[in-house]
Amino acid sequence: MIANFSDISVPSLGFFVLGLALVLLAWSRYRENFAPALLAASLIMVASWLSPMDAVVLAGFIFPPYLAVHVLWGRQEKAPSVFIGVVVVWEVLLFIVLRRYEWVGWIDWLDHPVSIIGLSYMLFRIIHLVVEAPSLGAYRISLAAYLSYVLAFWTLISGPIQRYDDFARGLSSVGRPEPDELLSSSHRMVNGLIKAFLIAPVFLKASDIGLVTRDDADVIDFAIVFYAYPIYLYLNFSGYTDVVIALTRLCGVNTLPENFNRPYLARNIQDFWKRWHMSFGVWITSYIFTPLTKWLLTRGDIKHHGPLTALSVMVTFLIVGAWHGATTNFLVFGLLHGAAVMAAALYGLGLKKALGKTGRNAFEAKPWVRGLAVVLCFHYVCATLALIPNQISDIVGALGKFLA
Amino acid sequence: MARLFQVFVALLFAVFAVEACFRLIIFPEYKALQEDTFQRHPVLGHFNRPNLELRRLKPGNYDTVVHTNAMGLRGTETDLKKELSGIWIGGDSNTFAAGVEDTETYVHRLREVGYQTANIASEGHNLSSQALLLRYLAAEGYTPRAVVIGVSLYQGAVDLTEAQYTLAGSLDAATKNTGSDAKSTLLSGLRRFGQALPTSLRDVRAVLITNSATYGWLRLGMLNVPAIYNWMKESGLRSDLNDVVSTDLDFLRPLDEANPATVRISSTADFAKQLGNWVKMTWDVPFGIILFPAYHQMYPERFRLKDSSLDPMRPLTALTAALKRNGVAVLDLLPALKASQIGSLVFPDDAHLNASSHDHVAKVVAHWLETELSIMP
Repeated sequence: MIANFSDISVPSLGFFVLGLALVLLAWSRYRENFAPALLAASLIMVASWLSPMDAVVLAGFIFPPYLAVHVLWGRQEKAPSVFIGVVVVWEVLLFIVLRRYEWVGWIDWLDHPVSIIGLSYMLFRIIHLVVEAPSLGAYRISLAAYLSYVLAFWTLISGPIQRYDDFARGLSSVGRPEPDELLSSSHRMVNGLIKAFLIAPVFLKASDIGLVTRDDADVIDFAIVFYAYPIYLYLNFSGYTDVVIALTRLCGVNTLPENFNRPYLARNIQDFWKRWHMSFGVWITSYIFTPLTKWLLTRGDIKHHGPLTALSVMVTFLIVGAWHGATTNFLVFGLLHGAAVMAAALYGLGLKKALGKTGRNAFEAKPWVRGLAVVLCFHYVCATLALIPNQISDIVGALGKFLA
Repeated sequence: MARLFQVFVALLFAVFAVEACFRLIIFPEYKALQEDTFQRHPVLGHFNRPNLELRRLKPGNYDTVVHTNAMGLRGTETDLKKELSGIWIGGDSNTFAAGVEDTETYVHRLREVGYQTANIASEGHNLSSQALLLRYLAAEGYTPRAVVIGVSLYQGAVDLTEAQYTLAGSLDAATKNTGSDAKSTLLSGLRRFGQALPTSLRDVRAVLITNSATYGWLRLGMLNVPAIYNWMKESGLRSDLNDVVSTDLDFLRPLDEANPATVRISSTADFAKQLGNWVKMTWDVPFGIILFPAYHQMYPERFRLKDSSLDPMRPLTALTAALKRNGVAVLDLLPALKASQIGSLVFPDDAHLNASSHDHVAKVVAHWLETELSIMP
């Protein structure tokens, strides 16, 4: 932490100053210094958040993988998969220790004050780099580039999760955007700020589950509480994403991935995860679901492929839940979403069996079917999102009181 | 145009550089101008931050270090059981007293004359928030020797007609009850949305004082230099307390049915009666209210009122009478403070009682505890 400066986050003066400095540098003739400036901005942002103890721990978290990345960079032929596996497992274990998951009792002995922001996003980027290092030889890597990528100023706190090749290509295109791009990015930034920091907070207070425990609470009160948190979360997260994507585009960097695509219009939970926090969905598919499914299927009997894929889905969503938070609630959240993905898959299979592939497609294309699916999926998402800000016992208690 | 843009950007960065300079070198204590002593509490909504050691600075007025213990009670007492076995003295900023040191508050001074006391006050609390705190402490198994709540005029006299829920039903229900339902919570949020950006000079000042060390120094920090302070006062650049109308003038108007202040006073007195009954029923210990006068009641001659129908004494007299009618033991501090030989009862630019006044208040309260509530040291 820097004395007398608040932690630098998107709605802070510090973020504005650093962002503006980067934009102006990108537009100037000194733009070849953009990469070191980005690193400096990232380090200032990190320093604003961390105590000295946090900084030491963070160094322990991010420097050892760099050595692995350095060794593996471009070595496509000789990449030792065991070595990659050991580094990844080590980082994940370290992450679990630092994140202080309540359901991992064995780390209780380690009572330390470390609270590093954006640690999970750093983990994603580190794992991506370690796993892909052998195939990324076409791009340059150095300690400075590694730190810039892992601690990137604009994605430090909440993503989106960017691939290293996209990051490197983005830095090579730094410059002044075209007027159209300039206008649309500025517009997007203002919209994002309004969404995330003016409109979203309006819904946060109304999402307090205690409001449905009042004696005079009626169905409308229940509906407000039920819908308020999902609305808040979407506005806050997507607004934040709008701001950081717009900022990078103002610097001429067009490779930061999108994170949202009208998620509440998803037809099922599988579709939802292709629209909600999309960069996370891509990452989790690439580094958890696909390799795990492959590993299970190559070892299992062909008649067990269905259950093995289901197992892979459940494990993946368990990890999705665990990533979202350190309490048991989040595991339940992940399991509920995994179950819904499987239910949707089984339903699709059943339809296909009953109507044939063409019949199923025609049925699913009917407006009322599609509308009903969207409504059902949205409400399922709303119900499960209640697990994020509330304890299960509070939800059960509030529902019991409301229904009594 | 490009030149203009360059000048604008250069100015912008110059402002940022100046601000950084003020934060790091010239006025690093600016955070102490506005640091909050409270945080959100799971039961009480808003209460003092526990284990606090916080500098509070108001240049020309006070520069203190405020401590709270593990429960958030003012002071450094670590033995909660011992502290909470005595007289609980609650209230708002006048009792929490961030402008004086821990050992200078009247609550602490009472210990010097033999009373075991606990300061359960919190800035911004009123009788209903203190009621929730008392219920919380009762649920935690603590028992006081007596309960006394300090109420400051005018902020302490609010409409508590709707606050009955804090004393009714279970504590859980009372704390979950925010006083408004989901519909009005959402609507009030939407209304606040319209006021999210500062619309008046006063709003802008409020934003600046909490965010800018440069502004903080210009507004308050440079007052640490006596020559500047005196010059500003003499030249009229800095208004003094006498010129600041810090109250809702309704309180000073005739308290008839049409005056909204009438309800505030009567509902405060009624709520105090109910709270006293609850204390009696829960612990069977004495209960009383201490009324802290506002600046213009202490120094009415300095209050340049243009309207002769406005009477600074009116709310104090009315609330004292209403409390007495309701059978609530009440101590009006005004006569004792006026009779004291203390040169200035409050800080130069802040209407809270200073250390000398706290010392005097402690003596007055000790006498009142003995004579009115029959509590001996």
